[in-house]
Formats: sequence, structure tokens, C-alpha cells
Amino acid sequence: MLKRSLKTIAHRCKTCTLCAGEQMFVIKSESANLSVIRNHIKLIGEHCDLSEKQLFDLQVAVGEATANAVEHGSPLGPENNVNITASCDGGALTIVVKDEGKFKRRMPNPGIEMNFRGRGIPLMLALMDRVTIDEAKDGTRVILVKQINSSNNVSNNRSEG
Amino acid sequence: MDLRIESKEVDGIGVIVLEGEVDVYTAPKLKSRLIDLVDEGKYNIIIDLQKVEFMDSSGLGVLVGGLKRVKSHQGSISLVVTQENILKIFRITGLVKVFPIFSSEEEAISDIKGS
Repeated sequence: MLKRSLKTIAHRCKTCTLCAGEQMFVIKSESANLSVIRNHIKLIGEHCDLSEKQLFDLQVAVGEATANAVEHGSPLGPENNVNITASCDGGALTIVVKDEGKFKRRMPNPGIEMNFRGRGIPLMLALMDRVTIDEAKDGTRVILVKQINSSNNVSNNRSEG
Repeated sequence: MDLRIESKEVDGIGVIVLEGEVDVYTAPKLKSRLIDLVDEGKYNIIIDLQKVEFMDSSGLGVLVGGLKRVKSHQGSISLVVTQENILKIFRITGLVKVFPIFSSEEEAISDIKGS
């Protein structure tokens, strides 16, 4: 990305609501709300000047984290909430998805491609620049970071947590 | 955005055309339609994803489940994918090696007929 573009992003981030702090929203833990969350995340990504390709990656990764929160991190079902926080420092957009239960760390068996589920974490790892899964007694936080100036090289990811 | 599902039959092959988003909320509709087709005796199925705007791992799981179902009848599931974003999801998860993927329904149909 050109220096000029970075400067524009930095300027925009200084004036946007995300840079003024964080944007947080809480939504009932229902699968019908997943589309609403993804659309909202897309708007945030557009605000941070992400490319169409990066917006799709972000939506898939956040979609996987929120779907896991709804399916496995909500012991009381729709009575639980999913808490989503977005922040941007001009260089990276960070989305934190927090549930009120226990994260299901399911990974596909490497030798078996016909698993029904377990592809959510590999997708998050491949599509984001950094993924951290932080498990605590009051719930799990999945922290997803997308570099704004990243070309999103799939082989250039790392995972923590 | 919801998921719109249309089914048709072309030369005995079941074709499902999807439009919209496939996620945890909408994937059960797709699963149900796949089960219906197999119950009707259609074991060679084409799923057209050209108008799918979003697909998550639950959607992939439903496709894999459908494949297992038709394979037990020596059938197949072929996909039509033209959008790079959707194709990327299949590449990352290794499912490009599991499903034959075509760029049009016609190509998928002629492949099934030729096999």
C-alpha cells in the first residue's frame, strides 16, 4: 500500500468513531443474529478501508467466532449474549468476540477430510493476521486481528492462545 | 439475508441452486433439501453456489454430510463455484480435493453423464 494511502487511513482513523475508543455491541445469542453481526462488521471494515477481499475474510472469521459463541458459548441459549468489540489503531482492525460459556476447540482430524465440523478455527487462522483464543471462567474471548495494509498472505498467519 | 433454495431435475440429476448466505442459521434448510433429494432417489446431485454470497463452516459440514449420504448409494455431489471468495473457503479447508468443482452447471452435468 502506498504511503499516501496509509496516511489517509491514519487520518480517517483519527477522526472515526473507532479510533476515539472502541465500538462495542452486545447481541442476543441467537443464530438468526449472525447475519446482522456480519453486516455490522462489514460496515466497520469498510470504514477502515479494507479491500473487498479483506472484508470477506473478516466476515468469515468473525462469523466463525460468533457462530461458535452462539452454538457452544451460550449455556442459557438466547438468554446469553455475545459481546463484540471493534477497535482500530490505523494499522490494524481488532475484533474481540466474547461469549458467556466454554469455547469448543474443535479441529478437524488432519487425515480425514470428511469431518462434518471443526473447520471454523482453521478458517479463522487462514483468513486473519492474528488469532488469539483466551479462555476464562466467565467466558471465552476470541481476538481477531486484520492488518489494514496487509495483502493477507495465507501463509503469513500465526496463532496464539 | 436469508438463503433461497431452488431444486430442479436435469436428465435425472438433482440440481440445487442456492442464493444468499449459508451459515448456522440457514444451513439446516440446505441439509433438509439434500435429505429430501436423496429420499426421492436422486443420488447424483449438483449444487450451484454461484449466487452464494457467504458460506461458513456449518455450510461446509452440511455439504460433507450430503456427500456421505449419496456416497452410500454410489452417488456424487458436484459443485458449481465461480466466485473466488467462496472457492477460497473450499481451498483453505481442503474440500477442493473432496468435491469436483465446475464453473457451470453444464460442465458439471456433462461430467456426471460421462462418468
